[in-house]
Amino acid sequence: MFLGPGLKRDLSIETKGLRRLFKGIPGKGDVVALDQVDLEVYDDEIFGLLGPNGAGKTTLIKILSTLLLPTQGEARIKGLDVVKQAPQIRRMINLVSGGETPGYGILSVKENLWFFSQLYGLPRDFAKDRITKLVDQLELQDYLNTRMAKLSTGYKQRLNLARGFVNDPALLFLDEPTLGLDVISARHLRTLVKGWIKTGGKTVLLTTHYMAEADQMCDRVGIINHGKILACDTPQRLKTKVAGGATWKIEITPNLSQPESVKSVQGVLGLSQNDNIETGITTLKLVLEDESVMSDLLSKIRDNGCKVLNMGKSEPTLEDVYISLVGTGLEE
Amino acid sequence: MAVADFVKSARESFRVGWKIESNWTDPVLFATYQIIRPLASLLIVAFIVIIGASVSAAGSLFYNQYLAWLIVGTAFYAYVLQAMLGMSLLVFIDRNRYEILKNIYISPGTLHPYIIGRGLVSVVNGTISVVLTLLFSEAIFNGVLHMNIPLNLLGVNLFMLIPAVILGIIGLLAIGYMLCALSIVANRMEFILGDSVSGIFFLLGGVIFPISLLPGPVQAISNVLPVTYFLNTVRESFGLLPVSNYTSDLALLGVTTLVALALGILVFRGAEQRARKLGLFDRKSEY
Amino acid sequence: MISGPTIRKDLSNNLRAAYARMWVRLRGSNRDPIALASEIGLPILTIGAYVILYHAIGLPASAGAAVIVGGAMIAFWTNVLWNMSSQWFWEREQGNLEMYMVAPVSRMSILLGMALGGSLNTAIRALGIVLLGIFVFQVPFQVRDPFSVGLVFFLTLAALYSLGMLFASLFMLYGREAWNTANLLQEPVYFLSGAYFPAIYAPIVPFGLQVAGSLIPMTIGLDAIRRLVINGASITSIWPEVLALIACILILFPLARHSLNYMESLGKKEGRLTLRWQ
Repeated sequence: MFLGPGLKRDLSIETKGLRRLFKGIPGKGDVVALDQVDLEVYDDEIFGLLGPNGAGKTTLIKILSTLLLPTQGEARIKGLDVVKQAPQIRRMINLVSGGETPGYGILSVKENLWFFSQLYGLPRDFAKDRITKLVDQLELQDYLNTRMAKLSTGYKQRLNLARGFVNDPALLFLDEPTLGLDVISARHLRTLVKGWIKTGGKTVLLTTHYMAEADQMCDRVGIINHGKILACDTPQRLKTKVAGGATWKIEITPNLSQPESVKSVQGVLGLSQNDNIETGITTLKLVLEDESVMSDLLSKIRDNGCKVLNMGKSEPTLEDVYISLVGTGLEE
Repeated sequence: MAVADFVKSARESFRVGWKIESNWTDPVLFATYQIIRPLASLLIVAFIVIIGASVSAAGSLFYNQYLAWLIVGTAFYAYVLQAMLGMSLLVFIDRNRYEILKNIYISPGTLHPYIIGRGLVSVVNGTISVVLTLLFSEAIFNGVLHMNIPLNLLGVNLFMLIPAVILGIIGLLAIGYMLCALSIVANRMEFILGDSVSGIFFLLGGVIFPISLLPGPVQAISNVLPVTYFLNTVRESFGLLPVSNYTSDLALLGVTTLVALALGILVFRGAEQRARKLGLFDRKSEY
Repeated sequence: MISGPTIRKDLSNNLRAAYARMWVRLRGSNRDPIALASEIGLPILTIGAYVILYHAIGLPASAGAAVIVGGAMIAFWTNVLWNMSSQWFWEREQGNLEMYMVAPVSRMSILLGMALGGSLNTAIRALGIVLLGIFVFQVPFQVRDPFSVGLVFFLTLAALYSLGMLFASLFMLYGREAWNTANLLQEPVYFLSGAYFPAIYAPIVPFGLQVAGSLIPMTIGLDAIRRLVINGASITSIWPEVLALIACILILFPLARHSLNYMESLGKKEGRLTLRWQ
């Protein structure tokens, strides 16, 4: 729940001018993973970081979770500096990375969870109760005594999430948590996280490249590309900003041979194209400054040898926001 | 599968295997790495013999001859450690760590040349170890310590050595192939399998003492191991055992190698069937 | 300033983490009876080869006892190399290192847990090796001062596992190098520690080799244990070794702690803490 800019809320995460460089290929110079990132995430919100692979999402999470030092700038968790006060920060956080299953394959679900609870100093009986509760919530009861190595991908990820909740952190980092999960497991996970945040005093920083996930789960979304935060607001407000322009959906066949020529039309803010291999129809999603560019645009499409089958204005989505900011779709 | 394709796959696998084995460090450190382990093993037994000579009444000639016998046995045992153990760990590395065993298996006819190519990398590593160990031994015991050990590296009979080494390597690779197959179907056994077989070879293969010192029934096991005849024929090539036994030892090496090969193929086929039945090509060992 | 209760809570949390990591090691390693049997049985193959070699060159039966003690102690060295020194490498490959790094406990407590679990596990195996060795090879032992045996054994393990913690810290950022370095250190230490020799400090062993060997805590401890259990010596004759082992612990443990902090901070700076598939 986002209260709006007028109401001052406590900050869970705050970064100022955060920059991180990595050594690149010899002779090619350093790679800029994060570039002057200024970010504020409030208590009691699910904040989503949306961006393509290599945008800097995981680097940011690693810095915030004390795994990586920034090259420049400042990052604070609950007012504590990630560089100088890492031990204090670690008492309040946990991290769940999608596609990874920390733990020991030879140990059972229960044993793994007990082990991780001890890394957070949970007293024996308290840990036992917490594990029972988590196992119920994540529907892991039937697998309690199953060795981790024998779990399916979905159940491994549930175990991973249970591990993330085991210390009841004030701030949970979820790095692409639904990666590789089927639709039902992913939905289950989203419901759980949304339910958990409602218990109060919690914050979630979620990275994803699934637009719908960010739209459905997050109170606010930051769009990140090439290490820079391009926009940061509630999904609704971001969409409204785009709606100031015009979002169009045009179906063509065949696909664009030179999409760059369409993108370069004056007034086109962004373009994504989605090919349907079965029907041979390509759907273009366009974010335009206004509708006056339409005739130039259509003639460029025809220059590409394409036939327009259908066209119409569409409700702006988070994807349109992304297209307008980055210039292309996330899947491209 | 055409022979040309088989050779091409094996060659590519060799190239990849070589990179994996060697590109973690620079060539000098890699060469040092290849020599240090076998040299340390050799020095252990050499010092035991030197200590023995200091407290025993037997003449120094016996100990010098024994040392030469030991040096050759320990040096060539590097093939067991490198070639055979290298192959036995292949499954662990490619299935657990790099997660590519399944992809190799489903590509047409690649698994066998792949394993052979990777095995040959271990053979090259083993050869580097053997050559360096022999050179260092000569330099330390005869050069620095002036012990007059009857080991003449230049006097080795290559016509005897080369067939012995080729057959011995084939035998060890066949056993490595078998271990590789067993690793596919066994869980958490990759290290145990290799260590067990190399331990048995160390005890029963005549590496550091003649098998005649073993109790009778145990000697019977030594007599069916290719490594026994491999080390015998190699020592005969260096003139450290009677040359007159060479032909029979080589023949026995050939027979035991053939048996190892046949067993290797059989075990591999069985393991492959079982792995497909149970879906083990992409199963990681639990650790 | 940190308050008393916070220090107590931190200490309690770290002890819990150390206990949990020890528990994982004990649980994981003893779940598989084949592995347990092989870890006792396999060293007997090598020990057997050396006992027969001793016989071949005319050494007395007590030399066989020395090699059995050496073989049992080598089990600890192997454990230190593969389950301590290169452990962060395995943990990183499994995705666990990240979890240790974000947890509010000292990494030293995790290493301590590994060391306690590893030494307890290996002690069971070492005892098995000694008993099996005595049974199979019928070698003579004479223990006159069991307290001193226990003391030296404890100090040797503490020094050896402190060395393991130091190696673990130094190898923290290693990829395949961790595996290869562990492999590389295995046999040279067998040699330098004199584990398979009848005695490392015998006059015939070159002085340089004795000095190099003495840099490894196991060499010092092994020699003292051999004298206590084979020659029937008492504490009065092995007190220099006791002091040397205490010195090793006092140097190695803080050194391990410093290197762990340094390597962790270097890893965070260079972004190599979570880098896999190296």
